[in-house]
Amino acid sequence: MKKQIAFFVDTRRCIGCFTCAMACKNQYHQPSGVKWRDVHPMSEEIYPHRECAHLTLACNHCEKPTCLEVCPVVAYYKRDEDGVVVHEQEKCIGCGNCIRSCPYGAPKYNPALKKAEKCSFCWQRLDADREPACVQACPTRALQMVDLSNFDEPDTVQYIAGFPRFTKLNPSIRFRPPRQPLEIRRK
Amino acid sequence: MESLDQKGRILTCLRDFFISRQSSEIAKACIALSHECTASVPIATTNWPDVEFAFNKLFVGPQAVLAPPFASVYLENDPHVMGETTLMVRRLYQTVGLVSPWEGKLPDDHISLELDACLHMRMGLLKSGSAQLCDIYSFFLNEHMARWIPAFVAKINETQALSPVIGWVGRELDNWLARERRRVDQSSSEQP
Amino acid sequence: MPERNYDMVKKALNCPVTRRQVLKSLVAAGVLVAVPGGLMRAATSSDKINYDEIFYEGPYETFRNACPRNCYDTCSIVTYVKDGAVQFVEGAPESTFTDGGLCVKGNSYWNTTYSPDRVKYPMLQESRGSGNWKRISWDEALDRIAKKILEIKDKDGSLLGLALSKYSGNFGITNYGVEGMMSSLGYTTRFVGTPCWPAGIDAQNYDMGNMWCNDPEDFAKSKYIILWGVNPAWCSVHSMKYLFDAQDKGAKVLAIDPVFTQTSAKADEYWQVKTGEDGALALGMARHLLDKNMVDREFVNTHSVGFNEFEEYLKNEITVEWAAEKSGIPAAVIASTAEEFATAKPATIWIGYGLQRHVNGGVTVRSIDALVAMTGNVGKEGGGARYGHLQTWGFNYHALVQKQPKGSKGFSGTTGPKGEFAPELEETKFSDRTLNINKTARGLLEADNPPIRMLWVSCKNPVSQDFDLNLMKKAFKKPEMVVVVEKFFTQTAELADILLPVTTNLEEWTVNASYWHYWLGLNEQAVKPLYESKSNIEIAAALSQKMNELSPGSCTFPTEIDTKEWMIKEFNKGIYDLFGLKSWEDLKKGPHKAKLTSTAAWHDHKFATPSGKYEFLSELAAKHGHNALPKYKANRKPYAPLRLLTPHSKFNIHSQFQNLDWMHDFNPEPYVYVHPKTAADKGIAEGDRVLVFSKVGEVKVKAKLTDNVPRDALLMYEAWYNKNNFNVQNVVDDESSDMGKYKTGAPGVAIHDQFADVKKA
Repeated sequence: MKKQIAFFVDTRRCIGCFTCAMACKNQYHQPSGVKWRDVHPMSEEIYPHRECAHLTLACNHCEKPTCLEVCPVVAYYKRDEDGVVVHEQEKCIGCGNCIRSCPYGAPKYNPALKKAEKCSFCWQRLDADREPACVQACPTRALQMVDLSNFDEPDTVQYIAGFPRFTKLNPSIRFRPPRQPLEIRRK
Repeated sequence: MESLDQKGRILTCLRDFFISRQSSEIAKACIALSHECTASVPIATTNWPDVEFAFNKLFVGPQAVLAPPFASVYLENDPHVMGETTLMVRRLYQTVGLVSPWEGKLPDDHISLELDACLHMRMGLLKSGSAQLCDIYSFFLNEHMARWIPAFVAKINETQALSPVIGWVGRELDNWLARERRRVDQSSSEQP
Repeated sequence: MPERNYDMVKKALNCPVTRRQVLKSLVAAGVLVAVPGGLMRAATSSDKINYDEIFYEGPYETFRNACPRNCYDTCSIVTYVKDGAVQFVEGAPESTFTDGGLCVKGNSYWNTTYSPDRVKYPMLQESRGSGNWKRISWDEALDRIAKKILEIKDKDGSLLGLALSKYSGNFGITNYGVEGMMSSLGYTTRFVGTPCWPAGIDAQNYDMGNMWCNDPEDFAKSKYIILWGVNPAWCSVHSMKYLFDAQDKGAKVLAIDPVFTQTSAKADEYWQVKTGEDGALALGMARHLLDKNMVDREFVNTHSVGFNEFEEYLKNEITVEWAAEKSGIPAAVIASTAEEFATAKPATIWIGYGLQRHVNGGVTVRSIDALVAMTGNVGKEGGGARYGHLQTWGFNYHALVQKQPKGSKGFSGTTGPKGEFAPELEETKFSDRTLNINKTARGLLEADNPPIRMLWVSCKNPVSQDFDLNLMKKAFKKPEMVVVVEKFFTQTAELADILLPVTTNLEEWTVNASYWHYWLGLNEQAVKPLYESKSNIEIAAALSQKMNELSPGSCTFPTEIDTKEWMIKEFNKGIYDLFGLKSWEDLKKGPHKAKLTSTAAWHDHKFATPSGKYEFLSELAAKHGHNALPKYKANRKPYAPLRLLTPHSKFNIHSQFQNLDWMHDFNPEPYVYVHPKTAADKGIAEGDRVLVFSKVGEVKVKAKLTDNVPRDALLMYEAWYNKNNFNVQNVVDDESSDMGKYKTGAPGVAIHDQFADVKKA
């Protein structure tokens, strides 16, 4: 399999601290309301303690990205060397196709620039031999960058409960499900 | 100011208004402005200390400012300064050999610094008619100021009730920009 | 319309070489003019242009900074600057604790520094609370302040009418210059003590002679970890990796907390203890260990005093069943866990600060210390009763230690004010007058002979954060002048007469230590102070200059200072030796860790108590009016049907960070968390606006339903949402905790012994 880098979200270690989401803001200064990465609490049906388990999500740099397919001006391309899906904002005309078509909501509308934008996997940092800002910032190493061509961590899945299953896109992301403690509650 | 034409004098008043530190400076700028354009508010009977309180609420603080006087806040849709826009404006100043005396302690895209840059550029144009300078000035007016001043003035208008005087100055700023853009868009050898 | 060459302009804006070329050609063509009365400096002829001055263009410069907030993690920061402006921040990779990453708050420092809402200039409020402000010059501000100080001195013959409200808003060591400034003026009134951790500090001092914890990076050596009344997943995110490592190695982690927190979710086991009954629980476990003969007799016999008395107390007055009844944890669970804890070698307990914010907080900590001690875990790597430490705070406190002017009169007492961070000052004939920081509102209202005529506030936000908001608002009407030093327009700033703009940590020189880990971080001035902001010591120097202008000799604070020099002056041989530094400049390469002979506190068992041993029985405690033994003390009697908890959120450090736009993106509004059954009883649905009310006051807020909170409690996270007047202090009073006076000058406050009710709004 070709090199395909992906985010590995170990929800066992994730503490929902939002450091990753803010590290992205710190790096790119997106305007208010535009979040390339966000942290979503798992619903209580999935994890019975409210706001105590989270999914941190940005762009899944899919194998067959729909954003790329629906872009009328070819403002997207998928890098050969690592599978990062890059959005070239200078080419973007703000038509909104990608925003409407991505079922994961990765492309966001930037109202100041009137264009789309999304998580870039910090490819400029990658090319400078650095980790993506969010990955470097994570205090528990819950958010990691991995290469799917040689990823073999145990107890991991591609579609964790609460993460929509879009197999045609084949999102490049992996999760480890969270655990629950033994509870001693007062009567 | 006698060597300046009327539009230049208006520009100077606007610049001085937005950089005012207390009511005496605000009054001086407004009174001078009222000599150049008909004031739609009764300047003679204005309570300047009240205008000062409103001025601070809009542009200075200490509360969260109601009409931040910095381009970045409007152009980047995110309330902050010293970002891409501030640095771009600083680079434009550099291109025409201008440096802010505050050296970054006051963000370069403060309205008064931008108006001062306009003053320098239009003076240079009047003297020389340089096409290159005209390109730069035109860019600054059309691709930068025109993109944020209307939103800035709109914010001022939202708070009209606080001070009609400031509302009037906002409208004069709007007018000045519109007229200046038209003038610069026409032939570079046009008379002011 | 002629075609304009915008491409040329865009190229110039993006390329410094093109820019230079364009400027040169404009100059050569004689195009640029000087404008009389212009704001900006213009290049008018080529021999006057300093191109290098105009065209700063370089790669990133990096600076070393530290997060100076009151937080366990005190991160080391690397700040990336370009063109004199901060671009972004990262965690320092050299510190194994910070490990290259900050937190959701630290990552927003760019937003803090460049928010257009920063207090920019000295401002004067027309009348307190009117909302009408004038901008004034520093000279005028200091003139007004100095004249007021001199007026007070004249009226009262002393400066006891000048009071300081300061705590932990900025822990950069040079910020103790604020206290130094006060001393340099004379003997003043100080609000002493700490709302934070005083009961536990006293407890650890009674038991061991000092507050001293293991290196948190040694958690991986532990086999059993109890997280007791602490929520590191929210309040010490960098510690979590060590807890996970310990779990990966097979250690068991037990979280004891009335609330099911994020930390609880990560533990192996969670106990929903009844709030305030942690002491009973610890004593119950101790009793069981006695019964099972699982006490480390070697430790107890060699290194402690008073165990026989403690043993007798446990045998006579404590049973596991009683502990179960009090705490809500089943007797069998208490018993088996006690045994597991005693068997695991080593075992450790992280004692949280929330745990001791009760009327019985101090003695609760003593009983938990006792559990750790009697199982032989004090002094072991991977063991210990972990609370905090001040081992790395041995600076010179050069900024703090200033002399009162000759002839100053003050309080006729022999001891000066205490602070847990600063050293004890030598005894003098006069001293400052001390009031309890945890009863600031009362202090302001009731102080007399002389009353408080002037209040200086820095590194604190009492109106947002202190107890009994209604009383505080009343209290702020009393002083004749209120001076507030601030970054943002907080609820305290709203009630100031004079507001002075202060620098952020990226704009000042200082040095930072932590009360949890053992790293030291330099804080360089990464960018020049924005607008007219000054650091606290710059303000002190400027005030001194004005004071001495008006009245020579009235202030001893140096009038001209080099703030970088003042940072350097904090270093001494002790610090250099502890951290293995040749000079402070070594810290430019990155934060350094203390050279520890052992990761364990008390590794040599040489306790700093009067007996030199661990004191299960402390005569000093008895002397101070407490029980000599950690005897059970009941919790505060409820005055309303539900307990009200107001702990810390992950999104803010008290009133810092939540006000930022970036933080609003992730945490837009506050809530009260209510148990679903409690809500159902009151007809409250998810998202309803409700009123949380008590005899103290009321708060209107939206409700979220969850069984993370116990049936009998309400929970609101304390924070300042600047576009919202939400303030939990409306329903929190200033009831004292049992301990704190010994080491910090005043008892703590029972922040979690508050009660309220809730109804639909």
